Amino acid sequence: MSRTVLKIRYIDPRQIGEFESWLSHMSKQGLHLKSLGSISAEFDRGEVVEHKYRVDFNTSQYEVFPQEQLEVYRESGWEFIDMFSDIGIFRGAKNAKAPELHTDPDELAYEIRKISRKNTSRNIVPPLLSIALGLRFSWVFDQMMLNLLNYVSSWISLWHFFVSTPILIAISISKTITLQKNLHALRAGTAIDHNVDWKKPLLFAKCAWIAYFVSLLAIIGCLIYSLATVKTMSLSTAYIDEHLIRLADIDKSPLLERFESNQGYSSRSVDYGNMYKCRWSPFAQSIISVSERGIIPGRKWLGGEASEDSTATYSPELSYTIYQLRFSWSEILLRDMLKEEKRICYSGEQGIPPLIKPAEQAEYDHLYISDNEPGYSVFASNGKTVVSLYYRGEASLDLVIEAVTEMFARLS
Amino acid sequence: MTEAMYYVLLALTQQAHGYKLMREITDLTHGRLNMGPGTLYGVLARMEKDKLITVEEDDGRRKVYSITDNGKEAFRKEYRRLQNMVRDGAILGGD
Repeated sequence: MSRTVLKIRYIDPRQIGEFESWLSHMSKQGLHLKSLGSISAEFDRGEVVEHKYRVDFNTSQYEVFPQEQLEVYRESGWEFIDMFSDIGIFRGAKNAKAPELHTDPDELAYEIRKISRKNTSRNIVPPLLSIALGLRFSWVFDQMMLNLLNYVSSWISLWHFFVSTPILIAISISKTITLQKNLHALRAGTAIDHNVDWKKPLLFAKCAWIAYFVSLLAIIGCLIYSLATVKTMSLSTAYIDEHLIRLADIDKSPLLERFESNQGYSSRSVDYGNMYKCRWSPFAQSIISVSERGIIPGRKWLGGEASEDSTATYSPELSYTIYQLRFSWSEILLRDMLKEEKRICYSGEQGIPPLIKPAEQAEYDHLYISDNEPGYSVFASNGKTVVSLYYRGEASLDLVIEAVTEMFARLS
Repeated sequence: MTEAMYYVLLALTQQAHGYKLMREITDLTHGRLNMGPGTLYGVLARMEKDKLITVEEDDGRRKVYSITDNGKEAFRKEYRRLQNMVRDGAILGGD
Protein backbone atom coordinates (compact mmCIF):
# COMPACT_ATOMS: atom_id res chain seq x y z
CA MET A 1 0.00 0.00 0.00
CA SER A 2 1.39 3.38 -0.97
CA ARG A 3 2.50 5.50 1.91
CA THR A 4 1.90 8.71 -0.03
CA VAL A 5 -1.61 10.00 -0.59
CA LEU A 6 -2.39 12.85 -2.94
CA LYS A 7 -5.49 14.95 -2.27
CA ILE A 8 -6.92 17.91 -4.10
CA ARG A 9 -6.86 20.82 -1.73
CA TYR A 10 -10.14 22.57 -2.24
CA ILE A 11 -9.47 24.98 0.60
CA ASP A 12 -6.96 27.75 0.02
CA PRO A 13 -4.26 28.18 2.72
CA ARG A 14 -5.31 31.84 2.90
CA GLN A 15 -8.57 30.56 4.39
CA ILE A 16 -6.40 30.14 7.47
CA GLY A 17 -8.64 28.56 10.12
CA GLU A 18 -10.44 26.28 7.67
CA PHE A 19 -7.19 25.07 6.11
CA GLU A 20 -5.57 24.41 9.48
CA SER A 21 -8.54 22.47 10.82
CA TRP A 22 -8.77 20.43 7.58
CA LEU A 23 -5.10 19.41 7.95
CA SER A 24 -5.67 18.50 11.62
CA HIS A 25 -8.67 16.41 10.58
CA MET A 26 -6.50 14.58 8.03
CA SER A 27 -3.90 13.84 10.72
CA LYS A 28 -6.65 12.21 12.79
CA GLN A 29 -7.02 9.79 9.87
CA GLY A 30 -3.28 9.07 9.81
CA LEU A 31 -2.57 11.40 6.90
CA HIS A 32 0.21 13.85 7.70
CA LEU A 33 1.00 16.70 5.33
CA LYS A 34 4.20 16.22 3.35
CA SER A 35 4.08 18.89 0.67
CA LEU A 36 1.77 21.46 -0.81
CA GLY A 37 1.12 22.02 -4.53
CA SER A 38 -0.90 24.67 -6.29
CA ILE A 39 -3.98 22.43 -6.44
CA SER A 40 -3.00 19.43 -4.37
CA ALA A 41 -1.58 18.37 -1.04
CA GLU A 42 0.60 15.32 -0.55
CA PHE A 43 0.23 13.34 2.66
CA ASP A 44 2.28 10.61 4.29
CA ARG A 45 0.18 7.75 5.58
CA GLY A 46 1.27 6.93 9.09
CA GLU A 47 0.18 6.55 12.67
CA VAL A 48 -3.08 8.13 13.74
CA VAL A 49 -1.68 11.06 15.72
CA GLU A 50 -3.61 14.29 15.94
CA HIS A 51 -1.44 17.22 14.99
CA LYS A 52 -2.18 20.88 15.00
CA TYR A 53 -1.22 22.83 11.92
CA ARG A 54 -0.58 26.53 11.57
CA VAL A 55 -0.34 28.79 8.54
CA ASP A 56 2.29 31.50 8.65
CA PHE A 57 3.33 34.20 6.21
CA ASN A 58 6.87 34.83 5.10
CA THR A 59 7.40 38.49 5.87
CA SER A 60 11.17 38.37 5.48
CA GLN A 61 13.00 39.91 2.56
CA TYR A 62 13.92 36.41 1.32
CA GLU A 63 11.90 34.06 -0.86
CA VAL A 64 11.95 31.36 1.80
CA PHE A 65 11.75 31.51 5.58
CA PRO A 66 15.25 32.28 6.96
CA GLN A 67 16.94 29.29 8.58
CA GLU A 68 17.27 31.17 11.87
CA GLN A 69 13.52 31.77 12.01
CA LEU A 70 12.75 28.11 11.27
CA GLU A 71 15.18 27.14 14.03
CA VAL A 72 13.36 29.31 16.57
CA TYR A 73 10.00 27.91 15.42
CA ARG A 74 11.39 24.38 15.86
CA GLU A 75 12.68 25.19 19.34
CA SER A 76 9.19 26.51 20.11
CA GLY A 77 7.61 23.22 19.00
CA TRP A 78 6.68 24.06 15.41
CA GLU A 79 8.06 21.92 12.61
CA PHE A 80 8.25 23.46 9.13
CA ILE A 81 6.46 21.28 6.55
CA ASP A 82 6.31 23.13 3.25
CA MET A 83 5.81 26.47 1.58
CA PHE A 84 3.40 27.54 -1.10
CA SER A 85 4.03 30.99 -2.53
CA ASP A 86 4.66 33.11 0.58
CA ILE A 87 2.71 30.86 2.91
CA GLY A 88 4.41 28.37 5.21
CA ILE A 89 2.75 25.40 6.89
CA PHE A 90 3.93 24.37 10.36
CA ARG A 91 3.03 21.36 12.46
CA GLY A 92 2.99 20.87 16.20
CA ALA A 93 1.87 18.02 18.42
CA LYS A 94 -1.74 18.44 19.55
CA ASN A 95 -0.99 18.16 23.26
CA ALA A 96 2.40 19.88 23.30
CA LYS A 97 2.59 23.03 25.38
CA ALA A 98 4.12 25.00 22.53
CA PRO A 99 3.13 28.67 22.41
CA GLU A 100 0.88 29.62 19.52
CA LEU A 101 2.77 30.85 16.45
CA HIS A 102 0.84 34.09 16.57
CA THR A 103 -0.10 35.59 19.89
CA ASP A 104 -0.91 39.14 18.81
CA PRO A 105 -4.06 39.52 16.65
CA ASP A 106 -3.01 43.07 15.61
CA GLU A 107 0.32 41.83 14.29
CA LEU A 108 -1.28 38.93 12.43
CA ALA A 109 -3.89 41.28 10.93
CA TYR A 110 -1.05 43.47 9.70
CA GLU A 111 0.68 40.49 8.06
CA ILE A 112 -2.52 39.23 6.45
CA ARG A 113 -3.29 42.70 5.09
CA LYS A 114 0.20 42.93 3.64
CA ILE A 115 0.03 39.49 2.07
CA SER A 116 -3.49 39.99 0.71
CA ARG A 117 -2.42 43.27 -0.91
CA LYS A 118 0.41 41.36 -2.57
CA ASN A 119 -2.03 38.66 -3.63
CA THR A 120 -4.81 40.92 -4.85
CA SER A 121 -3.80 40.40 -8.46
CA ARG A 122 -3.71 36.62 -7.96
CA ASN A 123 -7.25 36.73 -6.65
CA ILE A 124 -8.78 39.31 -8.95
CA VAL A 125 -6.98 38.77 -12.26
CA PRO A 126 -8.49 35.34 -13.18
CA PRO A 127 -12.14 36.49 -12.83
CA LEU A 128 -11.33 39.81 -14.56
CA LEU A 129 -9.57 38.04 -17.43
CA SER A 130 -12.49 35.67 -17.65
CA ILE A 131 -14.95 38.57 -17.89
CA ALA A 132 -12.79 40.37 -20.48
CA LEU A 133 -12.53 37.20 -22.56
CA GLY A 134 -16.27 36.71 -22.21
CA LEU A 135 -16.99 40.24 -23.48
CA ARG A 136 -14.75 39.56 -26.46
CA PHE A 137 -17.13 36.75 -27.43
CA SER A 138 -20.36 38.52 -26.53
CA TRP A 139 -21.40 38.32 -30.20
CA VAL A 140 -22.81 34.91 -29.35
CA PHE A 141 -25.78 36.53 -27.58
CA ASP A 142 -26.85 38.25 -30.76
CA GLN A 143 -28.89 35.59 -32.59
CA MET A 144 -27.89 33.12 -29.90
CA MET A 145 -30.05 30.22 -31.14
CA LEU A 146 -28.70 30.49 -34.67
CA ASN A 147 -25.12 30.72 -33.39
CA LEU A 148 -25.54 27.74 -31.09
CA LEU A 149 -26.78 25.65 -33.98
CA ASN A 150 -24.18 26.77 -36.48
CA TYR A 151 -20.97 27.44 -34.57
CA VAL A 152 -19.52 25.00 -32.06
CA SER A 153 -17.31 27.84 -30.75
CA SER A 154 -20.48 29.47 -29.43
CA TRP A 155 -20.99 26.50 -27.05
CA ILE A 156 -17.63 27.26 -25.47
CA SER A 157 -18.54 30.97 -25.29
CA LEU A 158 -21.82 30.15 -23.60
CA TRP A 159 -20.12 27.80 -21.13
CA HIS A 160 -17.55 30.49 -20.47
CA PHE A 161 -20.29 33.05 -19.72
CA PHE A 162 -22.67 30.94 -17.70
CA VAL A 163 -20.41 28.39 -15.99
CA SER A 164 -16.72 29.24 -16.00
CA THR A 165 -16.84 32.96 -15.17
CA PRO A 166 -19.51 32.71 -12.41
CA ILE A 167 -17.60 29.83 -10.79
CA LEU A 168 -14.29 31.70 -10.85
CA ILE A 169 -15.99 34.80 -9.44
CA ALA A 170 -17.79 32.76 -6.75
CA ILE A 171 -14.55 31.08 -5.64
CA SER A 172 -12.71 34.39 -5.59
CA ILE A 173 -15.51 36.03 -3.58
CA SER A 174 -15.61 33.11 -1.15
CA LYS A 175 -11.85 33.41 -0.47
CA THR A 176 -12.10 37.18 -0.09
CA ILE A 177 -15.01 36.89 2.34
CA THR A 178 -13.09 34.42 4.53
CA LEU A 179 -10.00 36.63 4.50
CA GLN A 180 -12.02 39.74 5.36
CA LYS A 181 -13.84 37.89 8.16
CA ASN A 182 -10.48 36.87 9.62
CA LEU A 183 -9.15 40.41 9.33
CA HIS A 184 -12.27 41.82 10.97
CA ALA A 185 -12.02 39.36 13.85
CA LEU A 186 -8.28 40.00 14.33
CA ARG A 187 -8.79 43.77 14.36
CA ALA A 188 -11.41 43.25 17.05
CA GLY A 189 -8.77 41.38 19.07
CA THR A 190 -10.09 37.87 18.41
CA ALA A 191 -7.54 35.23 17.52
CA ILE A 192 -7.98 32.96 14.49
CA ASP A 193 -10.20 29.99 15.26
CA HIS A 194 -7.98 27.02 14.42
CA ASN A 195 -10.82 24.52 14.76
CA VAL A 196 -13.38 26.26 12.59
CA ASP A 197 -15.66 24.10 10.41
CA TRP A 198 -13.85 23.21 7.18
CA LYS A 199 -16.58 20.99 5.72
CA LYS A 200 -18.82 23.75 4.33
CA PRO A 201 -16.11 25.68 2.46
CA LEU A 202 -14.67 22.40 1.20
CA LEU A 203 -18.07 21.25 -0.05
CA PHE A 204 -18.67 24.59 -1.72
CA ALA A 205 -15.30 24.59 -3.50
CA LYS A 206 -15.62 20.90 -4.41
CA CYS A 207 -19.08 21.36 -5.95
CA ALA A 208 -17.89 24.46 -7.83
CA TRP A 209 -14.85 22.70 -9.33
CA ILE A 210 -16.78 19.52 -10.12
CA ALA A 211 -19.44 21.60 -11.91
CA TYR A 212 -16.64 23.40 -13.75
CA PHE A 213 -14.86 20.30 -15.01
CA VAL A 214 -17.92 18.14 -15.66
CA SER A 215 -19.52 20.88 -17.75
CA LEU A 216 -16.22 21.49 -19.56
CA LEU A 217 -15.88 17.78 -20.34
CA ALA A 218 -19.49 17.66 -21.52
CA ILE A 219 -18.87 20.58 -23.87
CA ILE A 220 -15.64 19.06 -25.20
CA GLY A 221 -17.43 15.70 -25.62
CA CYS A 222 -20.26 17.33 -27.60
CA LEU A 223 -17.71 19.22 -29.66
CA ILE A 224 -15.72 16.10 -30.54
CA TYR A 225 -18.87 14.08 -31.27
CA SER A 226 -20.25 16.85 -33.42
CA LEU A 227 -17.03 17.14 -35.45
CA ALA A 228 -16.62 13.38 -35.71
CA THR A 229 -20.14 12.77 -37.01
CA VAL A 230 -20.35 15.59 -39.54
CA LYS A 231 -20.90 14.24 -43.06
CA THR A 232 -19.96 16.41 -46.01
CA MET A 233 -20.36 15.12 -49.54
CA SER A 234 -20.62 16.38 -53.08
CA LEU A 235 -24.26 16.39 -54.06
CA SER A 236 -23.90 14.38 -57.25
CA THR A 237 -22.21 11.38 -55.72
CA ALA A 238 -23.63 11.43 -52.23
CA TYR A 239 -26.51 9.47 -50.89
CA ILE A 240 -29.23 12.03 -50.80
CA ASP A 241 -32.12 11.78 -48.42
CA GLU A 242 -35.28 11.31 -50.45
CA HIS A 243 -37.02 13.89 -48.26
CA LEU A 244 -34.89 16.68 -49.64
CA ILE A 245 -35.71 18.94 -52.54
CA ARG A 246 -33.42 19.57 -55.47
CA LEU A 247 -32.96 22.53 -57.75
CA ALA A 248 -34.79 20.60 -60.47
CA ASP A 249 -37.93 20.59 -58.28
CA ILE A 250 -38.04 24.39 -58.69
CA ASP A 251 -36.33 25.07 -62.01
CA LYS A 252 -38.15 22.39 -63.92
CA SER A 253 -36.41 22.79 -67.26
CA PRO A 254 -35.25 19.44 -68.74
CA LEU A 255 -32.16 21.28 -69.97
CA LEU A 256 -30.96 22.05 -66.42
CA GLU A 257 -27.46 20.73 -65.85
CA ARG A 258 -25.25 20.62 -62.82
CA PHE A 259 -22.91 23.60 -62.69
CA GLU A 260 -19.49 22.67 -61.49
CA SER A 261 -16.98 25.26 -60.59
CA ASN A 262 -13.32 24.56 -60.11
CA GLN A 263 -13.32 27.14 -57.36
CA GLY A 264 -14.35 25.98 -53.94
CA TYR A 265 -13.13 22.40 -54.14
CA SER A 266 -11.63 21.26 -50.91
CA SER A 267 -8.76 18.83 -50.49
CA ARG A 268 -11.33 16.07 -50.06
CA SER A 269 -12.74 17.02 -53.47
CA VAL A 270 -16.04 18.20 -52.14
CA ASP A 271 -17.79 20.53 -54.54
CA TYR A 272 -18.97 23.23 -52.17
CA GLY A 273 -21.31 24.58 -54.86
CA ASN A 274 -23.14 21.24 -54.91
CA MET A 275 -22.89 19.94 -51.42
CA TYR A 276 -24.77 17.95 -48.83
CA LYS A 277 -23.83 18.33 -45.20
CA CYS A 278 -25.40 16.67 -42.20
CA ARG A 279 -24.34 17.33 -38.64
CA TRP A 280 -25.39 16.66 -35.06
CA SER A 281 -25.98 19.23 -32.37
CA PRO A 282 -26.98 19.00 -28.70
CA PHE A 283 -29.82 21.33 -29.66
CA ALA A 284 -30.97 19.60 -32.85
CA GLN A 285 -31.36 15.98 -33.87
CA SER A 286 -29.95 16.88 -37.23
CA ILE A 287 -28.95 19.92 -39.22
CA ILE A 288 -28.91 19.29 -42.95
CA SER A 289 -27.48 21.85 -45.33
CA VAL A 290 -27.77 21.54 -49.07
CA SER A 291 -26.37 23.78 -51.77
CA GLU A 292 -26.82 23.24 -55.44
CA ARG A 293 -25.89 25.14 -58.58
CA GLY A 294 -27.27 24.53 -62.05
CA ILE A 295 -26.90 25.93 -65.53
CA ILE A 296 -29.09 25.92 -68.63
CA PRO A 297 -26.73 26.21 -71.59
CA GLY A 298 -27.91 28.67 -74.19
CA ARG A 299 -30.38 30.46 -71.92
CA LYS A 300 -29.60 33.99 -70.74
CA TRP A 301 -30.73 35.76 -67.54
CA LEU A 302 -33.84 37.86 -68.10
CA GLY A 303 -32.91 41.54 -67.85
CA GLY A 304 -29.35 40.63 -67.01
CA GLU A 305 -29.65 41.79 -63.38
CA ALA A 306 -28.11 38.63 -62.04
CA SER A 307 -24.79 39.35 -63.59
CA GLU A 308 -22.75 42.32 -64.60
CA ASP A 309 -22.53 40.62 -67.93
CA SER A 310 -26.08 40.72 -69.32
CA THR A 311 -25.22 37.99 -71.77
CA ALA A 312 -24.27 35.57 -69.00
CA THR A 313 -25.75 32.08 -69.08
CA TYR A 314 -28.67 31.40 -66.73
CA SER A 315 -27.30 29.59 -63.67
CA PRO A 316 -29.79 29.17 -60.82
CA GLU A 317 -28.78 28.30 -57.25
CA LEU A 318 -30.52 26.69 -54.34
CA SER A 319 -29.25 26.50 -50.79
CA TYR A 320 -31.11 25.61 -47.64
CA THR A 321 -30.71 24.32 -44.13
CA ILE A 322 -33.17 22.12 -42.28
CA TYR A 323 -33.03 22.23 -38.48
CA GLN A 324 -34.82 19.42 -36.70
CA LEU A 325 -34.77 20.85 -33.19
CA ARG A 326 -34.89 18.85 -29.97
CA PHE A 327 -36.91 21.50 -28.18
CA SER A 328 -39.72 23.86 -29.17
CA TRP A 329 -37.42 26.73 -30.01
CA SER A 330 -38.63 27.23 -33.60
CA GLU A 331 -39.91 30.75 -33.02
CA ILE A 332 -36.63 31.87 -31.45
CA LEU A 333 -34.65 30.37 -34.32
CA LEU A 334 -36.92 31.99 -36.91
CA ARG A 335 -36.53 35.35 -35.19
CA ASP A 336 -32.74 34.95 -35.32
CA MET A 337 -32.87 33.98 -38.99
CA LEU A 338 -34.92 37.06 -39.92
CA LYS A 339 -32.51 39.23 -37.97
CA GLU A 340 -29.58 37.67 -39.79
CA GLU A 341 -31.30 38.16 -43.16
CA LYS A 342 -31.75 41.86 -42.36
CA ARG A 343 -28.13 42.14 -41.24
CA ILE A 344 -26.85 40.53 -44.46
CA CYS A 345 -29.00 42.80 -46.64
CA TYR A 346 -27.96 45.94 -44.70
CA SER A 347 -24.30 45.08 -44.93
CA GLY A 348 -24.64 44.37 -48.68
CA GLU A 349 -23.61 46.81 -51.35
CA GLN A 350 -27.01 48.44 -51.61
CA GLY A 351 -27.72 48.61 -47.89
CA ILE A 352 -31.44 48.24 -48.55
CA PRO A 353 -33.54 46.60 -45.83
CA PRO A 354 -35.19 43.43 -47.13
CA LEU A 355 -38.92 43.25 -47.45
CA ILE A 356 -39.76 40.28 -45.28
CA LYS A 357 -43.43 39.38 -45.39
CA PRO A 358 -45.23 36.91 -43.20
CA ALA A 359 -47.29 34.63 -45.41
CA GLU A 360 -50.47 32.73 -44.56
CA GLN A 361 -50.13 29.05 -45.29
CA ALA A 362 -52.09 26.40 -43.41
CA GLU A 363 -49.17 23.96 -43.69
CA TYR A 364 -46.83 26.08 -41.58
CA ASP A 365 -46.75 27.47 -38.09
CA HIS A 366 -44.77 30.41 -39.48
CA LEU A 367 -43.73 31.38 -42.98
CA TYR A 368 -41.74 34.44 -44.03
CA ILE A 369 -40.69 35.40 -47.51
CA SER A 370 -38.05 37.87 -48.54
CA ASP A 371 -38.00 38.95 -52.17
CA ASN A 372 -34.35 39.00 -53.20
CA GLU A 373 -34.37 39.85 -56.88
CA PRO A 374 -33.73 37.56 -58.80
CA GLY A 375 -34.88 35.00 -56.25
CA TYR A 376 -36.35 34.48 -52.81
CA SER A 377 -35.45 33.69 -49.26
CA VAL A 378 -37.95 31.54 -47.44
CA PHE A 379 -38.06 30.97 -43.68
CA ALA A 380 -40.57 28.40 -42.51
CA SER A 381 -41.32 26.41 -39.40
CA ASN A 382 -43.65 23.62 -38.51
CA GLY A 383 -43.44 22.00 -35.11
CA LYS A 384 -39.76 21.57 -34.29
CA THR A 385 -38.64 21.71 -37.91
CA VAL A 386 -37.31 24.99 -39.26
CA VAL A 387 -36.09 25.64 -42.80
CA SER A 388 -34.12 28.54 -44.12
CA LEU A 389 -33.93 28.51 -47.92
CA TYR A 390 -32.42 30.78 -50.52
CA TYR A 391 -33.22 30.39 -54.19
CA ARG A 392 -31.56 32.47 -56.87
CA GLY A 393 -33.22 32.03 -60.22
CA GLU A 394 -36.23 32.90 -62.30
CA ALA A 395 -38.77 30.32 -61.14
CA SER A 396 -41.92 31.75 -59.54
CA LEU A 397 -42.38 32.11 -55.79
CA ASP A 398 -45.29 29.66 -55.97
CA LEU A 399 -42.96 26.95 -57.28
CA VAL A 400 -40.48 27.64 -54.47
CA ILE A 401 -43.20 27.51 -51.78
CA GLU A 402 -44.65 24.38 -53.35
CA ALA A 403 -41.26 22.62 -53.19
CA VAL A 404 -40.73 23.68 -49.57
CA THR A 405 -44.25 22.52 -48.63
CA GLU A 406 -43.59 19.14 -50.24
CA MET A 407 -40.37 18.79 -48.31
CA PHE A 408 -42.14 19.59 -45.02
CA ALA A 409 -44.80 16.99 -45.86
CA ARG A 410 -42.10 14.37 -46.49
CA LEU A 411 -40.19 15.30 -43.34
CA SER A 412 -43.25 15.02 -41.13
CA MET B 1 2.69 50.78 18.14
CA THR B 2 1.34 47.34 19.01
CA GLU B 3 2.02 45.63 22.34
CA ALA B 4 4.36 43.18 20.58
CA MET B 5 6.42 46.00 19.06
CA TYR B 6 6.61 47.79 22.39
CA TYR B 7 8.01 44.78 24.23
CA VAL B 8 10.42 43.83 21.45
CA LEU B 9 11.90 47.35 21.56
CA LEU B 10 12.04 47.20 25.34
CA ALA B 11 13.74 43.79 25.31
CA LEU B 12 16.27 45.02 22.77
CA THR B 13 17.82 47.52 25.13
CA GLN B 14 20.26 44.62 25.32
CA GLN B 15 21.31 42.86 22.10
CA ALA B 16 19.57 39.53 21.61
CA HIS B 17 18.75 36.85 19.07
CA GLY B 18 15.26 35.57 18.34
CA TYR B 19 14.83 32.82 20.90
CA LYS B 20 16.48 34.86 23.66
CA LEU B 21 14.16 37.76 22.85
CA MET B 22 11.11 35.55 23.37
CA ARG B 23 12.36 34.49 26.81
CA GLU B 24 13.36 38.06 27.65
CA ILE B 25 9.86 39.32 26.88
CA THR B 26 8.30 36.58 29.03
CA ASP B 27 10.60 37.62 31.91
CA LEU B 28 9.95 41.34 31.40
CA THR B 29 6.20 40.79 31.58
CA HIS B 30 6.48 38.33 34.50
CA GLY B 31 5.03 35.58 32.32
CA ARG B 32 2.02 37.64 31.23
CA LEU B 33 3.14 37.78 27.61
CA ASN B 34 4.33 34.55 26.03
CA MET B 35 5.07 35.87 22.55
CA GLY B 36 4.69 33.38 19.70
CA PRO B 37 7.61 33.02 17.27
CA GLY B 38 5.39 33.98 14.31
CA THR B 39 4.45 37.24 15.98
CA LEU B 40 8.08 37.89 16.97
CA TYR B 41 9.48 37.43 13.47
CA GLY B 42 6.68 39.49 11.91
CA VAL B 43 7.54 42.35 14.26
CA LEU B 44 11.31 41.97 13.75
CA ALA B 45 10.99 42.04 9.95
CA ARG B 46 8.81 45.14 10.03
CA MET B 47 10.90 47.05 12.57
CA GLU B 48 14.12 46.21 10.73
CA LYS B 49 12.55 47.58 7.55
CA ASP B 50 11.46 50.72 9.44
CA LYS B 51 15.01 51.04 10.88
CA LEU B 52 13.79 50.87 14.48
CA ILE B 53 16.11 47.92 15.06
CA THR B 54 19.23 46.68 13.31
CA VAL B 55 21.06 43.39 12.85
CA GLU B 56 24.35 43.52 14.74
CA GLU B 57 25.59 40.04 13.84
CA ASP B 58 24.51 37.50 11.28
CA ASP B 59 26.55 34.30 11.08
CA GLY B 60 24.02 32.73 8.69
CA ARG B 61 22.53 30.62 11.48
CA ARG B 62 21.57 33.24 13.99
CA LYS B 63 20.94 36.99 13.88
CA VAL B 64 21.60 39.31 16.79
CA TYR B 65 19.38 42.38 16.91
CA SER B 66 19.73 45.72 18.71
CA ILE B 67 17.61 48.84 19.01
CA THR B 68 18.56 51.91 16.92
CA ASP B 69 18.30 55.59 17.94
CA ASN B 70 15.10 55.80 15.92
CA GLY B 71 13.80 52.80 17.83
CA LYS B 72 14.67 54.38 21.18
CA GLU B 73 12.92 57.60 20.15
CA ALA B 74 9.83 55.69 19.00
CA PHE B 75 9.80 53.72 22.27
CA ARG B 76 10.06 56.89 24.43
CA LYS B 77 7.25 58.49 22.48
CA GLU B 78 5.04 55.46 23.00
CA TYR B 79 6.01 55.28 26.68
CA ARG B 80 4.95 58.92 27.21
CA ARG B 81 1.71 58.29 25.35
CA LEU B 82 0.94 55.29 27.55
CA GLN B 83 1.89 57.23 30.68
CA ASN B 84 -0.50 59.99 29.71
CA MET B 85 -3.22 57.47 29.02
CA VAL B 86 -2.74 55.82 32.41
CA ARG B 87 -2.74 59.22 34.16
CA ASP B 88 -5.91 60.28 32.31
CA GLY B 89 -7.55 56.95 33.05
CA ALA B 90 -6.85 57.22 36.76
CA ILE B 91 -10.07 59.21 37.17
CA LEU B 92 -12.04 56.03 36.61
CA GLY B 93 -9.66 53.19 37.22
CA GLY B 94 -7.36 54.60 39.91
CA ASP B 95 -9.05 52.92 42.84
